Amino acid sequence: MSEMLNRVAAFGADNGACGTADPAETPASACGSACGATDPETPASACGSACGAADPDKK
Amino acid sequence: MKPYFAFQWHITDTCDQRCKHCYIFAEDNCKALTEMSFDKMEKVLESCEDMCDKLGRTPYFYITGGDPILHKDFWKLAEKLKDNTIRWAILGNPFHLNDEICQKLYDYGCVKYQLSLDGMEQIHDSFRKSGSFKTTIEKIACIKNAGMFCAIMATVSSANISDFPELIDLCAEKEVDVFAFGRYCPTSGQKSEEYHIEPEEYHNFLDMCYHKFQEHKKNDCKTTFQYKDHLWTLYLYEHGLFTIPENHDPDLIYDGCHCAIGHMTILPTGDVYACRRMESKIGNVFEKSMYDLFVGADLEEYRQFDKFEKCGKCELRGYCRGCPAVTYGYTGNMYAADPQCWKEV
Repeated sequence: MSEMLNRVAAFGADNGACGTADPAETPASACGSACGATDPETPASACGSACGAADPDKK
Repeated sequence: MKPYFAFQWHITDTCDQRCKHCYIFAEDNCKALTEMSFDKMEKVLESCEDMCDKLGRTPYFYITGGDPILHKDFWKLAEKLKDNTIRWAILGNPFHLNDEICQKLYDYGCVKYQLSLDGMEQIHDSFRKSGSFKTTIEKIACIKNAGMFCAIMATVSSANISDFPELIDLCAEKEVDVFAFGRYCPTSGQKSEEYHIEPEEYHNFLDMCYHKFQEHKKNDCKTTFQYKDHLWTLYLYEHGLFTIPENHDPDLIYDGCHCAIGHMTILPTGDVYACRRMESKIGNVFEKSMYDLFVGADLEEYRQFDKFEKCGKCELRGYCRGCPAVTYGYTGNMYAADPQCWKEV
């Protein structure tokens, strides 16, 4: 894996290092959506619990 | 389930619209219309699935074009995606949809159909073509009735920013499943001036949207208003709605722009881009596997997180970084300061 990808929480070894502070709605997850598209219908955050994408109503 | 990796896959350039702000036809970029053959599409699919296997990801395909439905082998591809149990969606036009087509899409496993609205009727049709607005609105129900999610994506610029309050209300009224917007990516210096939004104006715009979203939610609106633009993170942070976790590592990237992390774009020629919204070709899938392209040196150039000039001094670097494609459109350097970021660092 590349050096920079190892600094992305979702790809690195320390996936769960960061707790989440979810607001009711969170920004789109860093992983898994195309730039011109709305996010995939299932939240399944690539960032584990780190980036707080567990938005229950994200479609 | 393994997290998604998104492939924005342009299978054809063929399209019956010539939208003013479309990056495909901008600045005479696309003089010859290209279409990927079915044999080649099978190779792309295999390469993407192999990449996801190696990375521990679930592939999610956004099939687009042009208008993907106009591809002569579109339904063969749909069948292949269904056979491989791949989740997929369409970013497309409304013009070739009817109840029968929508049902067929659903039956082939298409979970979401994304349409574009760039304002209310007058502005939208001036960007696209006469009748486009009415047809788009009409097809929302068609998509939903078939069981697919209907997403509306808008592109905001100075040309249509004043239409958004009404547009948000309309999307709520029509019960679209998802509403989101991105900022216009200029393809020339002249366009960056023509469509520019000042940072403070953009902040006020997000504020208006946020309050609109809350108002609709209070009224049990079924629409998911997605905070897609990463500058939403800055807005939410400043309003106490997003908090940086106490134990976060400032060297790590947790969220923000997905470029070179969670998505790649494939064009009908097989050219692979880090992001379709900016000039960012990293190779060709028929010359190198998607996995090799993903971990290769060319894509690594798009994840040089230490190069972000303004974001590098901001505590939100790991969560935001604005839209590097918009920044590139203004400056030719994706690591420069986001032209709509209002934060002083």
